[in-house]
Amino acid sequence: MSAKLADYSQLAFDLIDELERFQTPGDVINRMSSALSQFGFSGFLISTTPDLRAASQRQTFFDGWPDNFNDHYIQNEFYKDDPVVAMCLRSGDPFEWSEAHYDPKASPRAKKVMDTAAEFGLKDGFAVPIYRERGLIDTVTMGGHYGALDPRAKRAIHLVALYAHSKALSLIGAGHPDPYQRILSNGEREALALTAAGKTAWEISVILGISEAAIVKRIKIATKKLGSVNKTQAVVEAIRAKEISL
Amino acid sequence: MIHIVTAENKKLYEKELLEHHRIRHDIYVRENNWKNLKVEDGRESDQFDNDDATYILAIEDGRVLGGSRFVPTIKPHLLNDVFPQLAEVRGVPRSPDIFEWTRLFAVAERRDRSAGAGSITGQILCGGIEFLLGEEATGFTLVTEAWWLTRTYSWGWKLSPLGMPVLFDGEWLVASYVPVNQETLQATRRRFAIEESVIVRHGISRPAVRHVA
Repeated sequence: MSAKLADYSQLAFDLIDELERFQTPGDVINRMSSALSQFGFSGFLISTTPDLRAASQRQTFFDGWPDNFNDHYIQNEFYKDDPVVAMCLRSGDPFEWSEAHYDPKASPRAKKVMDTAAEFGLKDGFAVPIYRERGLIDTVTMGGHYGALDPRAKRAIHLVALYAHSKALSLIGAGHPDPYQRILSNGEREALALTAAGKTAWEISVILGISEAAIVKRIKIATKKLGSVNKTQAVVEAIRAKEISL
Repeated sequence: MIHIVTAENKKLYEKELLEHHRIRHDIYVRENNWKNLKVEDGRESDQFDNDDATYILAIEDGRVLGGSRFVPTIKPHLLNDVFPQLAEVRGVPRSPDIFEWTRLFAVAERRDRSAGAGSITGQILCGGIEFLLGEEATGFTLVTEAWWLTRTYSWGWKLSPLGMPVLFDGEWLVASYVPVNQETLQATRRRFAIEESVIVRHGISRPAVRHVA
């Protein structure tokens, strides 16, 4: 094993051993920050990474960003346009921020996110998406101004990220809203299921014995709750969220 | 119930063992698309499916619903023989009281994604830990995809890494060591709401694995 890899792995293993003993988020953040600074990072973040529909429910586990970058990020709803978030939702493998491509002309808001991060000293970065059960995704991400990362350093960081994330779960808890929580009410679900089966609102009103206007309203609310623009899309989203099945 | 099958009693489980290899084929070759596995008549096996292997099989009404495999670390096993690079930093643990745990699976229709109370996965995990404690094992090693760390955290397992992640066939793999004791069993039982022993031992000694020095 080369000397460099030995150094990186020593750093990683020492950190992982120590993480096990920490009892407070503050301890973890301090220790992680000092270890990551040896790789050139000036900060890190561990958070949930919900998809766009639930983006406002994003929760932070450990905020190790410099200054108030996380607050600024949340206030400006940067998660909606962050190309790093988009990449986390697409791929489960660790990646450098520079690999999260976007077209600055076509996506000026994405550019704004990355430019703002750079203003906070986070010009380069590395992200480790963590895919959990039931399609939930969390991310361990870190940034700084270091240019390039040694591939062997990336493996060390990947390992550290996995353990730091597990530590986050053990100290803070599951993080995501109850995945079993139903989005639709029983009536909305019923109306949408019948819509999925090809019934018109009028037919559904006959089947369920309530007014057509009431059915139309239920479908409209369900469509809105599912973040869709019309009932056809709502049906797709409902199936995806396992609210209804065919 | 979880049945323990070794070279000593495998004659009692011929049909179930064949079924378990067939299910492994469905899952590892077809569903997961693993390459480099030996396939014969629709059954999957590798060089560690030998007389040193102990299988734990979840059997209900004569059907195999899931299972797993243990191999003593003092014998040839996956981590030592196929993926030693995964243990580059801490070395491959080899000891009569440490087993390698591999091929954990549950059939699709009983693979409760939440792995909630009484699930087949839960039974296999609790049965596995019971088995290890019965052998007076102190721990086991695992070769898994990197994202398994998060899963096992919720089972009360304390993983420690043996080396750095390695990219293999498009997946990041890690090797870990997990100590076992009564606390581990309690934590795993709590997680899956299992209150009592789930294992069945037909025609085998205790310990089931006799170590030859």
